[in-house]
Amino acid sequence: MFERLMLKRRTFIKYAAVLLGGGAAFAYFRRFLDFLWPAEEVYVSKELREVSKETLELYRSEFLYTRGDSTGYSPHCVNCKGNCAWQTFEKGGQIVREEQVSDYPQISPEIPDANPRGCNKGALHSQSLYEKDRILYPMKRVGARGEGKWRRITWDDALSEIAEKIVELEGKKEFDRLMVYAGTGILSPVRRGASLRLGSLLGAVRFNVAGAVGDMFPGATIAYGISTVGCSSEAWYEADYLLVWGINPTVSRIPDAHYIWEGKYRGARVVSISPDYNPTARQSSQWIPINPGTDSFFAMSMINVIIKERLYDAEFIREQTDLPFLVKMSDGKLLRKSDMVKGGSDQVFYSFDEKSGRPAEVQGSMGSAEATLRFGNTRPALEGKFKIKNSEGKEVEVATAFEMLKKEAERFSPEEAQKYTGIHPSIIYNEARRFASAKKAIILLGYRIHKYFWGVLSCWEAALLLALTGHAGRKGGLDIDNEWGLGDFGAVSSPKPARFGSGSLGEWKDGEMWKSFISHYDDMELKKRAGIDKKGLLTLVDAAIKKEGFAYFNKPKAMLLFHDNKFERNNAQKQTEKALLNSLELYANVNYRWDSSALLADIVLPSITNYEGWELRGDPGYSRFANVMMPPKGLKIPGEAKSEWEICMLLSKKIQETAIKKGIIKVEDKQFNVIRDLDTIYHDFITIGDNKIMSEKELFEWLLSASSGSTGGADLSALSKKGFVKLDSPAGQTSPLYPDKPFYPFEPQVYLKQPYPTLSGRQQFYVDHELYLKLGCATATAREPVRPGKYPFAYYNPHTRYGIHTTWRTGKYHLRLQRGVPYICINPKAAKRKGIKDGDRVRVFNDVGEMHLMAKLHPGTPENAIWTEHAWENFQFKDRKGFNNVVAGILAPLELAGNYGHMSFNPFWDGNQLMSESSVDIEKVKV
Amino acid sequence: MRQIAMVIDLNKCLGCQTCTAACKTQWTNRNGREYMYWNNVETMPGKGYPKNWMDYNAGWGNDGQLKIGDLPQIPEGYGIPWEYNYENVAEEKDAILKPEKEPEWGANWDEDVGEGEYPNSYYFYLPRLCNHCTKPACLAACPMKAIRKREEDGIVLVDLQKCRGIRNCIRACPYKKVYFNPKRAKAEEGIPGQTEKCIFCYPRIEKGLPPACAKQCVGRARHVGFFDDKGSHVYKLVKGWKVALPLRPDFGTKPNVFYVPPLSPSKFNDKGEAVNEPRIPLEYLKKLFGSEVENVLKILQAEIEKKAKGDKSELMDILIAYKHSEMFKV
Repeated sequence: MFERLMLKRRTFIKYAAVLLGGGAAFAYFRRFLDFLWPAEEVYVSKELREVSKETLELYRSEFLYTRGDSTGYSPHCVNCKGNCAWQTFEKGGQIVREEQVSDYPQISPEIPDANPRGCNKGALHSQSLYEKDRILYPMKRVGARGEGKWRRITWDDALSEIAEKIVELEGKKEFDRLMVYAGTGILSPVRRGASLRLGSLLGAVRFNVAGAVGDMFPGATIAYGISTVGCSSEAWYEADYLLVWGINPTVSRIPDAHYIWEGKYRGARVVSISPDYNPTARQSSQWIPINPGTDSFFAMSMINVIIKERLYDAEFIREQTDLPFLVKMSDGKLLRKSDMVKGGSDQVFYSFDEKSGRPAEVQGSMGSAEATLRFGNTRPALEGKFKIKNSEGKEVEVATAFEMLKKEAERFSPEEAQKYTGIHPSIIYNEARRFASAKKAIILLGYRIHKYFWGVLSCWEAALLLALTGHAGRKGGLDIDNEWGLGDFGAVSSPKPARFGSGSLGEWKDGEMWKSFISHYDDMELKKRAGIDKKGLLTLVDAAIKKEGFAYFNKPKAMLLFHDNKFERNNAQKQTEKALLNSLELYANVNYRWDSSALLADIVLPSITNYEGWELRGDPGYSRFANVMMPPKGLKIPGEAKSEWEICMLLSKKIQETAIKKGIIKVEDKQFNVIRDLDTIYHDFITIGDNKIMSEKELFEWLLSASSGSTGGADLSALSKKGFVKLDSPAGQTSPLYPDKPFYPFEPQVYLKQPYPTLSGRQQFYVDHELYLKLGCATATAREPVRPGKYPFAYYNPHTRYGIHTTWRTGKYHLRLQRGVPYICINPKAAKRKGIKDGDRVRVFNDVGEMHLMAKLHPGTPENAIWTEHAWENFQFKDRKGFNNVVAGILAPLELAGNYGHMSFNPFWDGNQLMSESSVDIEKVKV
Repeated sequence: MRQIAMVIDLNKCLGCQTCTAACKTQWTNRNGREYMYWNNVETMPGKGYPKNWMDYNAGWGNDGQLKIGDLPQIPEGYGIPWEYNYENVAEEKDAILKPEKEPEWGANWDEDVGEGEYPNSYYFYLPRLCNHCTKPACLAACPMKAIRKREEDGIVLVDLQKCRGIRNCIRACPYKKVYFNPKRAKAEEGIPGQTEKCIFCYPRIEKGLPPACAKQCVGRARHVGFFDDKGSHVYKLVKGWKVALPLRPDFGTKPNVFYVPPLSPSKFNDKGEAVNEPRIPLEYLKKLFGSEVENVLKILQAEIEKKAKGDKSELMDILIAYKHSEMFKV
């Protein structure tokens, strides 16, 4: 059957060999022949190279079908730092497929282009639009909550009922009992704008989104004053040393991860810190298998080596950090002008001037006259203890904050840290030296770190490591949460003051999480490892609200949730669910699918999802391209789904009508010194400046023009060409965004010596807040995890590659590439000890609750931990007891300090729901 | 005849399954193909998809004879494309979202597991598709001569005008990348179904687009080109630098999909010190990619070191792939 054309060539060569003899002549001939007539292997006869036209046309027409009749563009506006341009294809009114646009321009020939952006989840969104869990019509529950008995109602009826309740609460001035809140299911300005605007006009409560989800970076805020800090992902390609800490980019930064591995091909050293051998660790140069929750010991041991071996950049530290500031030995407080001059500011600090031998006021702090980091004629000492005279003429012993740090760091040699982290000292010495000497070093630190009790210390110390070694400006930095600024959208989202509440304290109090906290943690363990016992922590929580400035309003009586899955996400799931539902008289959920939170609602309202509306997504600060959502011309929205803007517009109209009918028209909101005008709320909602915004598309157009500074004036026609626009310099919030270079933060500070937005005006590494002093954390230090020893396993939940939180988590195409059902990863030796085999049904439990899943034996997992990826829906588990049902409530004490310069309640300074500080046990389920 | 080929860089593959999703929506989310993954990504060492596909004793023997092996079964070999009871969940108290059958096996069941003991376990990802072989076992095995290899690009496909569902092709393919489609049955003609397989997205190629799996690969791990195009990455990696190796060359089918083998981070000794030994045993990599793999890994390391020093490396520049569009020359 095979025709061996090779045979002819071989025969030819054979005769040539005979003719020419075997020597040099033949060798030259062979080379000549290979050049002229390369050996082509063909094993398939001519007959079998023909394909029928019918077959060829079959697949060609299928392909054409997937190219659709009309096309659009869309990113996916979920809790993802990716932000990718997709082209969508419409056929018969439905989206049949999507494909990454993959047309971003290269910014520099030295740096790989960003193509393609978009992952497995985006590639399958089309398949979820018409799935059977799509909410198509407004629904009202007719049974008990969660019973699954629903009746379809009209939009008019649904909105009337919600409006009634809202007007009732507003009339009673119970603004604090009304919650209007958009969760991270929609993270983009047009879609969020609607509910933010409505809630704002009503004075309703909304939580700090990041705190509620446990995604705050207080450790970074302490150092920098803000936490939207990071580089564009192109910078990862340029780094010589990349420390990937508590983050798994191969899994959770899919569109950007290639920059890391391409950088490694360039010779970069990539070090991955993770308790388990995760996909990022397996691609790295060095994996550091850290004991869960001991990151601050790792950090301090690195700092120990850098200080001991003098690997630090003294000049950088001197100028850019508060480490030269003088600290009083008597009480550990910073020396302030109020100590040195009668009536002096308590926000002005001192260094010891080596030139004059005297303490000198430092400029740039919050109370300083000059906003500069320059020292003028002084030269602040970095090291040393000194005796100085205060305003009363008394002699005061002081030391630099750097001396305090040195003293603390001495305690954490790599040998000492090993007892906690399990990491061999040789690894620490090696990495500390490589890190310190790297030309460009970036620490990529993940959201996971602050889900531990001492996450604040670990993140703060990551910032400190970079500061000690001078890795700042274009030499690297901390990469945690960069955001671009598209423009000021305050006019949309905050027309009147809203009740902005702490996310962590809000969920804690609404869910009565102290109950699981009290039952799970042990007083003796807590006292030993944290310096406070349970009562002490609860006192701090109280004080946080009463004294420290954190806002908590009240448990909601009425709640209008937009794309927020709090009943799936919150700790002690079953307990907090009950506590919150008990307080709710009316709970309405706006969603596109039946998630765990929609199932528990009184009223469910169908919304659009990605591909179906208009949006400009440009905040996630890793990719410098803002992506547009514009639906294909032929697209039909399923059922009666509406855009968030239309929903809120219609609701505000109902509120206005209801209010006028009941005569509840102008209600005084004393707390915010404003009148809530219910009789004009519809008019106020649709009026932004001189514009009347009557649809989502019109809001999009308003936003587009408000973003023109950052988008180079891109209009709809420009965006329609490729679905994206390259952002301009003003989009950079902490530095300019250069068109041809990666973005690094804080260039004005590093190069122009402008102050950081901190109390000290510098990268702050000494905090003399009462609580920090009490807990011994005024300077960087290390503390043990507080998960209780009464259960043998640490429990944590890495991000999955199959969902962005719960979005797509239940998609069948995704579940088919996993095990179909939730599973828990356990080390094979640990499993054997428990008599558990791969695939067995197991029960994971502690005093807080239990859950049932399938066991997955995983040799990359340490023996002292079990984990499952996060964001399974509760209804994927037996009895709907989900993966958060075994997580106890707990808050981090270092996140409960406030009213301290920049550490004052605001979107950058709030606490986290801690999700990785519980212990569990596991057993095989007897079938 | 021209031959199109693909190189997959196992150092850049993220295991994200974007290629799998791209192929799924391009071809196999419909028409009886739902259980098929023309492109899949499996974790190695592992059983793969279909389960234990390497142990079916198929392909070309050392004696040049074609081996017709066993047929993988649905569901034991391929798993089931589980369907879910979404409508129950909203409408029934305490209803659990679950597949119609208790899961026992799936296309990616042992994801991220691999082999070895903590902290020295190892794994990597192996994306697989039809290799569009130069000496295809499937083509040789078909008694109806229904499998064809295109003149213009060497793409191998089942001619559905001729296939009678005999399935020798599935038995003969050592990579198990031909699938049976029972929905394509024609009872009146006695045909129980027909076989289908990856078609290298030829309708896309004909329009100048790379295959979906390659173009949509967000790890930027795939290069596509023709062997007679000396300027293509594929030519340079396979024939020039020779760092792209076939999978199981011992099967004898002369595949046209090649792999840049995976490096791995250092192991730990009993004390926890890092030792300069790669985790993935060389013997295992040799079994998969042939004995040249040892040399290839050395070449990769050497070229990385050149770049680290600031010197030029054509190989690293190709693998880094500064311009996505240059990875594909179709």
